[in-house]
Amino acid sequence: MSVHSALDLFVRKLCQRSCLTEEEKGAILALEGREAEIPPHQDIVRPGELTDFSCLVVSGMAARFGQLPDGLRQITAVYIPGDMCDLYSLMLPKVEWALQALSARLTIIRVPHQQLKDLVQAYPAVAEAFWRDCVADASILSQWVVNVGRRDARKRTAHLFCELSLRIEQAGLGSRHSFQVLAIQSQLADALGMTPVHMNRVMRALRQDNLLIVQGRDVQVPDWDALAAVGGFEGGYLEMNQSWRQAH
Amino acid sequence: MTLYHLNLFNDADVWDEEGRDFVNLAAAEKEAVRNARDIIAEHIRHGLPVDLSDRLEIADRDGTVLKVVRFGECVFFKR
Repeated sequence: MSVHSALDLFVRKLCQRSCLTEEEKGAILALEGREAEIPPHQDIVRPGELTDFSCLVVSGMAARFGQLPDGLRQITAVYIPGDMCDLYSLMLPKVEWALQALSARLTIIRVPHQQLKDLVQAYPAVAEAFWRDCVADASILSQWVVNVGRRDARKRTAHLFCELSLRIEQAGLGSRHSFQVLAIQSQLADALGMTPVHMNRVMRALRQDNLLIVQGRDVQVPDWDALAAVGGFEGGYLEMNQSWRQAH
Repeated sequence: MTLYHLNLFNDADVWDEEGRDFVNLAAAEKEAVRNARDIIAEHIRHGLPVDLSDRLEIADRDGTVLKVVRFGECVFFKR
């Protein structure tokens, strides 16, 4: 996927939640940044690092995670192409968590904060769209906390795959029934607060019930509604109340 | 780093096809114990029986079993 395609995806995602004019969209598409290939397991942004750019995923998957001194870690967000992983860094350029490549191949664009600042000062509607994007990120995190804290392993796994499938579908990168997750199972276990063997066991059970079929990076969901029912998944938090938006 | 596979044998047999890198066998064994405890904990949360003879086998990339970790070795009970 090209840099321009990634910006297209970013604009597409923003427009699913915000109303932008052609001029505003064009201004976002005119953003420029430095493209970088990130090797697996390498930090894009290290904990405590002061950044002057935000990262737009071009291809592959990225993750935000926190790590404990004993090496155990928790993934707190997964990012797909078209996601600006750390748009919040425009306001908070130094954080104690890290961004890392999740997939074997990850390409990002580092967009300088100065360009983003100039953009939002020139176009208040873009500022509002960015704000809404950050709220959506927080909304997903809120769901993840409930998922990890209160759902059992089977429901938790079903919920995560439903969320990823919808996000991938909304981005136009697959359908909710057939998509790719470019992460290994131990990484997904880190996102679910489970151990990898436990997660493998849950995945096997979901497969036996014909709810979730994972072969390598390819995921098939034969009956999406059934998987959503298992996970207690309701996707409203991804859509962010469009009726309210249209009225304002 | 060496690739080890942590294969599960309990109410379902689950083969670890991807495997993971560990610094040595002792590190893989420590991880196997942590994984076994996670599964045991889920069984207990759901009121399901825990079979202490269930096991995790640590195998190398050729499938040779290097270490067996039984669930009974991973938990301790006091009466």
